[in-house]
Amino acid sequence: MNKKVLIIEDNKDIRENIAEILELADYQVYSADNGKAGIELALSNLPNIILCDIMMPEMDGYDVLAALHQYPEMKGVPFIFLTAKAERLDLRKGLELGADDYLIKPFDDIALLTAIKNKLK
Amino acid sequence: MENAALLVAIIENAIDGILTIDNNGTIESINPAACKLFSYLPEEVIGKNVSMLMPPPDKEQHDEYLHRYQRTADPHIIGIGREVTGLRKDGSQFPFQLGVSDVKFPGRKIYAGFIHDLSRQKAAEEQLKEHAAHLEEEVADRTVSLQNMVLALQEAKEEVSVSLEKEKELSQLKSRFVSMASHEFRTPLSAVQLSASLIDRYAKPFNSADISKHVEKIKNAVGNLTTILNDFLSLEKLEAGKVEPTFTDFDLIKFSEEITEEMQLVAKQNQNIIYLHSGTSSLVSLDQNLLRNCIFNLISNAIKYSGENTFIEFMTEINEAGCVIIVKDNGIGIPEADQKHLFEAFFRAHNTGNISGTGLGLNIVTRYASLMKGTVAFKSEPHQGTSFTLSFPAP
Repeated sequence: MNKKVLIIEDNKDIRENIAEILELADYQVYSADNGKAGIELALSNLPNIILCDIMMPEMDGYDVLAALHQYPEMKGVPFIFLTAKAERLDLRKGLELGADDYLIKPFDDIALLTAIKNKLK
Repeated sequence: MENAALLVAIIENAIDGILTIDNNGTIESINPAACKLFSYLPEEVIGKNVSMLMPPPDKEQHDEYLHRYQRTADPHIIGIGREVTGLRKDGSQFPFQLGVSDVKFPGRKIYAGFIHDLSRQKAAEEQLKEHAAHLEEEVADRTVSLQNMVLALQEAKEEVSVSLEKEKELSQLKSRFVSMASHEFRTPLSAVQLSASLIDRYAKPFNSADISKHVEKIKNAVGNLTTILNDFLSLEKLEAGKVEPTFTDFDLIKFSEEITEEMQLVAKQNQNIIYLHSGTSSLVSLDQNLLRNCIFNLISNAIKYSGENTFIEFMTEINEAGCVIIVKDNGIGIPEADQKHLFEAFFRAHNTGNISGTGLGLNIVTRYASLMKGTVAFKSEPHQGTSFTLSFPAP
């Protein structure tokens, strides 16, 4: 069965491009354009891995991660931050909150697929 | 008789003026000193009323003074002395100290006046007063000019603080802009990068070298722009003093091999990065991120400024003195005239031509190295190549 990937990203172009690349690589893709919808999709579809932007209006990536931590069914689901922040402190904060990895924008298809493959091993 | 002669001699030669008057105020005798003081000859005053030697109001009232004393025996001057004003023959006046004593003879009384000139003393006092007044004026003048100076200083201070405030605002604005740009530019760049990846995938069936070439160009351009954004952000953080090294112990060989592998991916055709380590130990204590950034920068430069089919030597050494890292290429080299400016921000050597770059890389490398207490040195020969050495002292 195809692995399920949830993308939470407010930028339409990036969200669609990531989805397209992942679909071409035979992943089953769910996408949300905000944190709240992302959490709902996560709970209803139980993805194998979650990609989540950090800077989003209303609910940012850190909030999404913290919210998902409250559900036992989300335990062990790899969580990768997509970030425009290249600063070390921001990255460290993400990892301290329990993210498994981060991709710094701009990243290409190879970096994206490699990161997902590594975390799904 | 001798006594009388002595008295006359004393009176005649006294420095102070002495004169005597009778009960009615008529001058009976006057000594030379008194004549000189009032500019009269003795015969001009003897027999005349003493009030001729006084200016008003004493002139008119002297007779009354005399009669009052004779009536009441209540002395105002006699035996006390007083400062009064004298009237000279020419009408001019002068101050003097007057002492008066009454001398009783059988049947009549005379009065002797002792006149001590105070002109000089008064003049000196006047002068002193004038000096004091002048001084006061000067003090007032100086005070005013000091106050003006203080005001001017305050104004200047305010101006300076306004410009400082402005500069601070500008610096914050710059900081915010750099931060905003480096973050906000990344989102559209991501879309471009991912679209280029997708085009590449969709174009595979066409097997078109032209499509591949252009996709590659887009990806490279995104990569270059990302590097520029990273450099700007690094510089901004350095300028703001926000970069603090975190020293950790790590294996330099493993660390360098990873970098070599990664950089080999971006090297030109047949450009080989050769990594060598010397020394028995491989453990160092440095900031991994800063060091990685330094080495990335040096190897990227080596790749950029040397041609295909070349070797890039990447050497590390740990000895008693510390840790030495060398990146050596056979590239275009750095013109001698440019070498002294090499580490300045935004400086680029004149032979870089159309090879892209911001001129920030080496500036950041030296700053990162010095944050880790290290130094950067280089040797370069145009058309021969360049060798950069990072040295860190043993902890």
